[in-house]
Amino acid sequence: AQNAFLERQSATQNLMKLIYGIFDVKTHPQEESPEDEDQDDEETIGGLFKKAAKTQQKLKLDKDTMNLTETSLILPWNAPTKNWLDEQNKLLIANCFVTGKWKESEDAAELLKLDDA
Amino acid sequence: MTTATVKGNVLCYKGSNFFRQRLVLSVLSGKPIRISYIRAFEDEPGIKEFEVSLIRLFDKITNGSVIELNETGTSLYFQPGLLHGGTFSHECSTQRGVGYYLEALVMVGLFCKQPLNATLHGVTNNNIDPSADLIKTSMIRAVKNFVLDDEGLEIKVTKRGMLPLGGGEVIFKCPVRKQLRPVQLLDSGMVKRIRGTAFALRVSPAIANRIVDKAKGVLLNFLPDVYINTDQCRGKQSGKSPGFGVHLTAETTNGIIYSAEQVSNVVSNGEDPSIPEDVGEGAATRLLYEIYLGGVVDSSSQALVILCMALGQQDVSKFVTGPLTENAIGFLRHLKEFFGVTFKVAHESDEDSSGRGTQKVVLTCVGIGYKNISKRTI
Repeated sequence: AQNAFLERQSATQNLMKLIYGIFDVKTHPQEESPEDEDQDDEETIGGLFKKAAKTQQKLKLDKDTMNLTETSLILPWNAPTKNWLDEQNKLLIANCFVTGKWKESEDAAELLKLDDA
Repeated sequence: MTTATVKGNVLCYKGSNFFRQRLVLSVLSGKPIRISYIRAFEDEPGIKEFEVSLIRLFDKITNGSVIELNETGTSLYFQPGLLHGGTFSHECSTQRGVGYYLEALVMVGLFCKQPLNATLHGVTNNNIDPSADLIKTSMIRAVKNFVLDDEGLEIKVTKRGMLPLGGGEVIFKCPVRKQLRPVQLLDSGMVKRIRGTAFALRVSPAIANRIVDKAKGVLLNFLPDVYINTDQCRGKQSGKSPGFGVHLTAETTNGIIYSAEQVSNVVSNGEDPSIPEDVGEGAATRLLYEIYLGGVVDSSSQALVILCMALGQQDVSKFVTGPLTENAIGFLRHLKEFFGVTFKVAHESDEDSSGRGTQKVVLTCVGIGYKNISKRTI
């Protein structure tokens, strides 16, 4: 699930939308409520099927998440992660270390070359 | 997304998730909150012991808070008083680690009237909370970016305590600051050294060395500069329950610290006993994962940095983090509701990011110029 979460985040180009969503609508639900009955009519398709109301869907979602355990960790400490010793995975973070490849603007060898030139 | 409804000046929420964030933001913003349907449909409804303990803690550091809880504990009304701070000790619930409470204190500490000197008792290390060590290394480091003078900001772990009985003791001292400064931190640098502490409480001291061996074995694949201490706790220093664990930190060339840790399973809770080698390897891979996520703070301190950015002077702050955690996303949403701050969140445009972990996220915001009203300028 954690990987899916990360992938979703990197796939979503618009992070603002992911976080704030259609925020302003939701902070004022009272204003909407008197119109609910009218909306019901609009939401029937072909007089037969009824679209699940957006608010209902949202309530369902909230019910799943509203009582989750609060923690600031991205996942519990003892949750399994990738096998970082795998060669492919090693490459993913190789340049995060000073032993890896430096950025061109910081690489001493590159800078020396510039000096010579 | 969010569940807040505004009634008058009270923010109403449902459910126990983000309980701590809501309390912290309520205290800082002075806005009362009402939380209903707290675990209303579960077998054990209402707030749990650790949440009661958190409310007590907030009652201690504030002056004149009004707290109303209904009979079943499923609904809470909290009207914050003034942040007072001062010296006190607090018995934390063993259901959560001391880190759970400490994190809230770190968030509000700078804005108290009196400098904080808090002694927290409880479980110092567990598997779902940042430990006292992590807060000491990563979070305090993150806060120091935002204050010019960090004298007196410290955390000391005087006793360690593991589940189920705890018995640990942590002392947190925090000075009072008038305001935070805006920061622009965009480059995390590269990891130059890895340090750590392994501890074995009420078990054979050799276990700590076994953890070190294995953790080093993994980390030496990436960097030669790995040094892990063993912290031999004796007598009362080692708490009331047996257990062992390790805390690892990776420091970058720009002084940023990533932390990871792992502790043994609690056998008396019916979990399988852990093997020290597994704990060492687990913590090491977890540290590598943290490096993979990257950013200018480690993932557990994201919410704290977001708060400091939002409360800073009215100037632009910029920060690079790894992928946002659920907690940080929730925090961004709540910040908007309590303070009306919206962040600009975007992926970092990468020139040459191969081998540098995941795609990073750039957070930009203009601070609201929050000031500590209790601190006088001399």
